[in-house]
Amino acid sequence: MVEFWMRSIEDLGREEVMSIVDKELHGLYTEKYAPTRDLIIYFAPRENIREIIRRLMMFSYTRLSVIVGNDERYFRRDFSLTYIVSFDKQDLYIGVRTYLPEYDLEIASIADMVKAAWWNERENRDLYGIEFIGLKDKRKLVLPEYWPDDAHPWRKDYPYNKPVMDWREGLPDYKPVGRHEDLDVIGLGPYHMINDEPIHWRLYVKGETIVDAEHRGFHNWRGIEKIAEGRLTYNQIPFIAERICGICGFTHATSYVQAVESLAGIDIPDRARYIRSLMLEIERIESHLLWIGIACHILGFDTGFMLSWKIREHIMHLAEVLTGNRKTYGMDIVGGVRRDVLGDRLGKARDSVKKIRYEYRELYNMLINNSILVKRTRGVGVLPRNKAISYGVVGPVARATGLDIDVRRDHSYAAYKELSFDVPVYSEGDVLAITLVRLDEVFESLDLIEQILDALPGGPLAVDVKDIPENKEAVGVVEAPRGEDIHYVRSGLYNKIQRWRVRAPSYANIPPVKEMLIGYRLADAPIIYASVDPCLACTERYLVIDVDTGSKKIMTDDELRAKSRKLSTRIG
Amino acid sequence: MAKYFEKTDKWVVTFKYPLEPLEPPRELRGKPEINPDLCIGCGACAEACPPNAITKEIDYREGYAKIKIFYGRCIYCGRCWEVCPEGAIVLTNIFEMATPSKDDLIYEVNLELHTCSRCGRYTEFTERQVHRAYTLLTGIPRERRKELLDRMFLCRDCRRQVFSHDALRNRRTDKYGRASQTPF
Amino acid sequence: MNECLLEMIWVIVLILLGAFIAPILDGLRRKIRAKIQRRIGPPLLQTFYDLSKLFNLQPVLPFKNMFIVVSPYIAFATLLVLSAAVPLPYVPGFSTVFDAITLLYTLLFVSVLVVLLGLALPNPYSNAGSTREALTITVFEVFIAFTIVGIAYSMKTLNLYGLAVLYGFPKNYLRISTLFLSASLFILAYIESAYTPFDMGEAETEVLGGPYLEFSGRYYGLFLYALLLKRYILLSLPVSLVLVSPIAMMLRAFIPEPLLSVVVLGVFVLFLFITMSVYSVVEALYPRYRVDLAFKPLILASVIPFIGLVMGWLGW
Repeated sequence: MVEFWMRSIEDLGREEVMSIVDKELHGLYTEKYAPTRDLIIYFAPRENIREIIRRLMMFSYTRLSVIVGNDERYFRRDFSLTYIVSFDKQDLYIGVRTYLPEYDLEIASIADMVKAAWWNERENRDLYGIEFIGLKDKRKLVLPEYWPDDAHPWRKDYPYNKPVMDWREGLPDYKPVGRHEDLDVIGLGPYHMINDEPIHWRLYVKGETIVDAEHRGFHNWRGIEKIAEGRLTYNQIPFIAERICGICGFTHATSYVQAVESLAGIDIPDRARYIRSLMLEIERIESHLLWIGIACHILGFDTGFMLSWKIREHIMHLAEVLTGNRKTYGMDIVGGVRRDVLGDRLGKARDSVKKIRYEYRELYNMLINNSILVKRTRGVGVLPRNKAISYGVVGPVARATGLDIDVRRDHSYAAYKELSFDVPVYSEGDVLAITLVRLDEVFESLDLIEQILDALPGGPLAVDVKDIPENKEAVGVVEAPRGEDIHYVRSGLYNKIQRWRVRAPSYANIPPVKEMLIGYRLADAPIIYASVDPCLACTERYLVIDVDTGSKKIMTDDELRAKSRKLSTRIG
Repeated sequence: MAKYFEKTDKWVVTFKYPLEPLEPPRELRGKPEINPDLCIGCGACAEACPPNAITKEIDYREGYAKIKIFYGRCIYCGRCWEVCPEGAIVLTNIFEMATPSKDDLIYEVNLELHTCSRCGRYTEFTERQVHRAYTLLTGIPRERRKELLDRMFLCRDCRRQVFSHDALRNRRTDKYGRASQTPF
Repeated sequence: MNECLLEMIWVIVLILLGAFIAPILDGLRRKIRAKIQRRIGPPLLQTFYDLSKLFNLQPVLPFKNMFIVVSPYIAFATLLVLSAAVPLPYVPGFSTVFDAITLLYTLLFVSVLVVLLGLALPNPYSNAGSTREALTITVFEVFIAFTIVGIAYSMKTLNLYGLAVLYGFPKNYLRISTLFLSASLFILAYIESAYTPFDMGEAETEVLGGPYLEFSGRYYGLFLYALLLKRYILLSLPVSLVLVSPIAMMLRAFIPEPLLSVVVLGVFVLFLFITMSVYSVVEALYPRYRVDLAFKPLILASVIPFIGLVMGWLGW
């Protein structure tokens, strides 16, 4: 096991850390280059990857953000894997890239060492066919069970619109790992009261106490990135990126356009930066209020739910006035934003911020003074700090376990460098702490909106973008309401992107839920699971509906009844 | 929703929506409507539309271009509105578009195709596009204007032929009758 | 008029009243909750619409077992009969022949029936919900026992009709022990009806309705109706004993006997609505307890009827 964060570097500057990393990795890498200001890529042979990641993870405030696989056979006949490690206190991403030839796709797994790699490795195994030696969990993550083992949809020779097989035939069942034959099994989902989106948690319980938990998700996976790589142009992608998620869509769009702007070296106008920040903060308030409502609902407190959503309605209306839509703002475009915030709308925004602050303070007092609410959340679902580091959790979940990370401050983007705000950090790691982080952040966001409205500079909204340079790469990163949302973009030929990898915050935050559930009661399972604010749409990146291949089977009533009867007996 | 916003000071904030009319704010990006009188059928909207809700089809046999918008796929981003050179697409405030029939969600603009003045076949651009191009010629110097006018009403094949013909005729020869430079 | 015939008429009237007012009370509860949550809310008759929809839906049952198919009918019929036994002063329904222990334990019988059903069904959520329900019933038993014994001791009777009449007598009503017992009656009705902090058994967001999970269509409709009747009967206990009984006592001097029953019934319905409103407000202000968290308040609450019992014994 790796000892995380042994070397404290959080006070050191960026240049210093870069030289320290150079020294530390000396001899392990072959070459390095810096595609953009905040990304350095080391090239290393695959034998050294484990050691490099181990050494990088020893520094404090580092975490494995994402593992990006890429099919580069058209450039250099290889597949590549890029392990992107975030240095949170130095505004730096270090990528470690290794090339794997097509005939020899094997690499040592690091999932036993860094838990954050667990899902990433399984995903790359599904989609590129890269075999991770030592990865214990051989289940599919992204693809369904019936998917053939030799079809890897993200290889470039796999067309974006090819159906793989008729799913109605030979549908194998999901096979759980099933280590606990003697325990009761409770399936939470895919359809459950608390699941707004399908996810399956298999809880092994003794009485009402959870002993172990297992996850199976990605029921929604449709390969949205492949669609973007296959047939969309640079300026069409922000719209599909925005539709990755219904709650934090704007962060995805912003993250994507920031990546493209970064790789093309575009400096966007000041006014566009401020408007982006404004919309991001509006979205954060909206998302947090939604979460507070859902959490209250899960705890049986419908009044809190309704009142919180009542306040949310103001912010939705503000968004509608500013952008023309309640949720999918459609404001981002490569090079700037599309719609201006004009005079009377500024006034409306000020008024509604005032109103929201007043009403939200009432709600806040009502919630934190509710004794049952506090009792139900205190000491529940504790995520220990070392596990949080290993899983690389981000956002409010990380800040509730005492990790002082916030992308807005650490990897500053848009207008956040010129704005002042606090980052609330709690150290308990339980659901109450996560709730408090979110509750506090709403106040910070309200402050930020007022600051932005006061300091909104003049000038143009967007710059004219001529050509996106070919074959360059960059990461775009945004602090979504749920945490760090990172997009890796590599530009390709013919005005198309070659690789787009979306790592939504929930992708990092859902795996540790397994650890958080163990030891608590069944009654706590919904609120523990909900505490990370799981956004499965982001995690699974779906939402593309192919009109032509949508197939369905009609069952008669009797068949359906017989089937449901069979299923319910089996689960029992 | 505007109504909701004003009502917040009252105790009850919801209202009986389908039974009461709802006035959306004027900023709402609602149903995009194509003005068939202004549309010239250039297809810029179809190019820009992220979800391919707007498509352009050309029927050479019947001789018309069809700009078709299917609201079922529309994401109300308003890109078509931004790129339209004629201002023929406007975003309205309409958002209540539920319908039992899919056909209600389809709107088509059929525009006549231009016929080539030389060969008489249908070109791939519309009559209105040619007209629009003609109006753009006003500010152009006379010599160049005439040159453009000659080719404006031709189809793509005829243009190519006329162009090469002109080029051959205008080529400069040296005193031995050889081409001094290639016209292309 | 023949006394037996009169009683028959009152039984039918009370059953009809119960069947009609139970969903209305639920509608009122939903309406008031909605108002606290700042929304318009469903119409007062919404629960009737829900029930009629459920009765028209085709039910899907997990398996065909006679016990499971019959049990909703048993629960519904039992509670319908019980609703004729609500203790009302000067309204001689079944209350003349029922005593308090029978009433409360028939109510408990229905709860136990639901618990057993939930445990029998092949669904982990039903099982979990039933286990919680069983735990709650067991813990709350103490409270119910103290309350019944306390009231019986103070009023020197267990007959429901007798209790309803005697409770309002000044010599009974104006005692400190009665104060505690009245309070515990209100608490009993609240907790036993499984309003929000105590709805662990059927917690929708946790165990998806618990024991009722596998029932659908008219079977669920019957269970829902039974649950509403149960809540109505429980609510009628504090309302009629604590609120209606003293008023009936006062009215007795002015209004002749047959008319008095009708007036009492009217007052009863009025107070049902008022009490239900208060309950709804309380319900809207609390989230749900976890079972282990609920034990402490449930056990601590039994101190109130215990004090009432001891004071009644001391003659205060």
